[in-house]
Amino acid sequence: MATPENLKVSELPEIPDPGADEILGPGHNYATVTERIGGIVYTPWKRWPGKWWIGAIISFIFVNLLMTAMYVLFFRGIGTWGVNIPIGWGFAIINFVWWIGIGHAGTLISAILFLLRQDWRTSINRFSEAMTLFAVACAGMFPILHLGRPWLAYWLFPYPNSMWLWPQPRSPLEWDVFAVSTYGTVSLVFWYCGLIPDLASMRDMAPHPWQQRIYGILSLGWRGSAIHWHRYQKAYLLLAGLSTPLVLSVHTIVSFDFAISIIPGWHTTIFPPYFVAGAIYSGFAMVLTLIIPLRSWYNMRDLITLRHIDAAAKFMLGTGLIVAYGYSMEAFMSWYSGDPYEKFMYWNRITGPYGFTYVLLILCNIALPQSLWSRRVRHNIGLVWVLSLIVNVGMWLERFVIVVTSLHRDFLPSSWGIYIPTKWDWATYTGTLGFFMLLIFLFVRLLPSISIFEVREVVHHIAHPREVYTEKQL
Amino acid sequence: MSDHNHDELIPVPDIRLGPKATSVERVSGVIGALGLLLCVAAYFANRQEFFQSYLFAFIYWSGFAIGGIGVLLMGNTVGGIWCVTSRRFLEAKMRTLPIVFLFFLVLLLGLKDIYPWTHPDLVAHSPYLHQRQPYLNVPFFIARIVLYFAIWLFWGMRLYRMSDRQDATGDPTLRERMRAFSAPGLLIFVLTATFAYFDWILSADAQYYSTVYGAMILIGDVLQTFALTILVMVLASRGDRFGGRINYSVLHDLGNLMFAFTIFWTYLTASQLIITWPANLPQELQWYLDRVHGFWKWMAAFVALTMFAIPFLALLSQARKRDPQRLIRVAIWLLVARLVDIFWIVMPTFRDLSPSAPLATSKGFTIYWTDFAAFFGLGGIWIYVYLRQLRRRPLLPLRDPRVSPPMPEVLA
Repeated sequence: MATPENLKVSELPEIPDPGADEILGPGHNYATVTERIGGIVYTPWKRWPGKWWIGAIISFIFVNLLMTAMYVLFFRGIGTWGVNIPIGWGFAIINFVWWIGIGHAGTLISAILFLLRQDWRTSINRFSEAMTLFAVACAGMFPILHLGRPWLAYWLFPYPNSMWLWPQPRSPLEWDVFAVSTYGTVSLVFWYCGLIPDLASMRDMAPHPWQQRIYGILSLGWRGSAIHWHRYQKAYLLLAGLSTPLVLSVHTIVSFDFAISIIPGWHTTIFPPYFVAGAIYSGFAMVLTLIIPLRSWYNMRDLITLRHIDAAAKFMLGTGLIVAYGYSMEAFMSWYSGDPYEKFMYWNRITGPYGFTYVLLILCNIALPQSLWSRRVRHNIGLVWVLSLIVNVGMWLERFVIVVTSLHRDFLPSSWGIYIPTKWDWATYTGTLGFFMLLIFLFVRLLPSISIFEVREVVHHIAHPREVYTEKQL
Repeated sequence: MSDHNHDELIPVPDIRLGPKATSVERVSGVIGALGLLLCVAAYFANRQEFFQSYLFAFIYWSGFAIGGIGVLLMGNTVGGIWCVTSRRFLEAKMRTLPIVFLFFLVLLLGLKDIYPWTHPDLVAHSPYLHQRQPYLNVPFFIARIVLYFAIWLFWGMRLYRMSDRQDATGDPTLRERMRAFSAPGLLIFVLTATFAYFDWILSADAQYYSTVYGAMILIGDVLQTFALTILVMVLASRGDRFGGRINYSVLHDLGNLMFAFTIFWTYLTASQLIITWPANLPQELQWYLDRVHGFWKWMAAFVALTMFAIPFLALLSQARKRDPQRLIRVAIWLLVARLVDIFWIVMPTFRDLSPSAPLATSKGFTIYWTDFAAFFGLGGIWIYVYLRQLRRRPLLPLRDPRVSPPMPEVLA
């Protein structure tokens, strides 16, 4: 086994991508997989890629911007944001829904694709689960900041108190508190559970005693005995089963935030499935946005192959089409309903003062991603990366269109208004982007960003192709 | 180490439908013929009641043909052994589309008895119907439905021919071509089927609209299609005629899909209720009020219990999904529950007095003898045609390498 001293990330010769049929490059055995993935974490700082430093520093600057924006918000109040009456929900809810949506791919890839026995999930599940946690952390900030008095956020929880004050159980916003906190908790446990065998591998290959000690504590005494693995697989399967309904429930309840109301543009029955599909859409887009640079910076083209990118791109196309179905149902029914407010809402959405956002939305979310039907586009990594960025923008615009265009012109023309986000809105939003990226950078530095033991399983399956999963796993 | 191509060397047996199916076919043909005779009597006895019953029977039985092409397109797109092994059963359902189209042509005789938008006086007095006039008018309605059937048949028949060619030549490129052809087909299918249900059922309501409605009915179709596929597959493989190729692994996959679509159906149905009920808007809520008025309320509870709670709990069990005898009990259960579900969705529009239901024939829950006549008439004929289609070809694709390999642990 090679010592960490001679593992150099940036000096390694470029390892080629094995192509769209392989989930792992050639020549791997259990030891090389462990060394390659674990070795990244143990690479000394001076051999760490320069791009990481640049990215981490820029992210850190934005984290400071977020802190500043929060300071201004707490000091001066919600008035520093662009929200007003009638647009009481502005960037806060847009960004909340956007981040929560991004947080959907992780659990989907880890839990649902695990239950569906999709082989291509192995190399990207750990990373997308981490992405989920960080995205949920960013999402969680917004409603709390939007409270205006964030120090009273605990009032959202029903607990016996001397004021005899209880949250309103009929409000979907209250349901959100439970949906999001449950999702965050289960995602964290699921992610950590998946990390345990790898933390033990990290412990075993640690070059310094203090690293050994830290990873040793985190690995909870994992020895890799048969009984450990047996219990581990049971626990993982159960957690996957538990997480699956959560993938659907969180964004369903987020969609109820809007749909339970009677605002035209919000009150529509297609919202739950179309929000869930949109969440998975944006989640896959964010996974692609991050893994494509990651695999090139860390020379991991043989671990995250074209097969993974192709599969994720197809998933993106499929969920994007469900979103398109949602848009078309909304458009058709707003006309078919015969309700003047519904009709006006849709017409205003396209031709009103925010019409350009709608046009951009259709372009980013529906028109351009159709190019993914072509295999040549899906196999052009650069193009897939650009498309993933476009979808990220498109899904943000979707939430902007839903929130702002539905609110700004409601039933009474006398109460119409316009919403313009302020610099502090933008600072908070870009600040969370920086926070998210900084967490991703730290994650890559401190933990194995690809599941070591699951890739070792892939090595085994490639060597013994006829052995399918055991009965118990099925 | 075992050979990678081991399974392809075992020839797929050319098994056809057995003699028992012939008697089922005959019996259902006779029931269908008798039912149709009663339908003719019903047409002359009470035209309006008859056509309203006919719509219900039409929606239930056409659901298998529409679900059949839908599942076929979906299976080809996403891949999976389950779809290759059950392909012939799905193709036979798809091949009943022409007879379903004939059923639809009969429905055209009764447009005035079903759809309020065919009555100029009603249209004149309802802002909703007036708004919908450019979409809901007889010529456009017929043109749309003809277009839907043309699209479904085009995709279905081309896949059917590709499948035949694969049996004859074993051309390995066909597999990818079927997939490439099915993916856009699935997209177009979902859109056309959605609008077909807007046209057939939703438009019978003078007020209601719901964006999830089409998807809700369509997912129910997929569910009933899986249930029937599992039932017929298990019955056809009695006595292990397939040499272990229809085995617990395939049934487990199909059982899981039935489970997943049970949950999906519930998800869409419950979402519609949760969004519509608290909003309390008269135009929308009437649809639910009609469906919880009087005895309909008990039917609603029955649907919730039989379409969700019971199959959900039953299908949680891994063992049940792997045991063919226990699995088909769930399938039969779902086929019956879906019947009640369709009745509960379609009929309150005709059997409840409300602004939503201007063509109602009764003030509340009622069952007429025409319901049975139409149901057994169409059902008998549909099963007869389905089994005849199933008989024409081998029950497994002979040359598709992905058809499920024989398993030593054969069905009991």
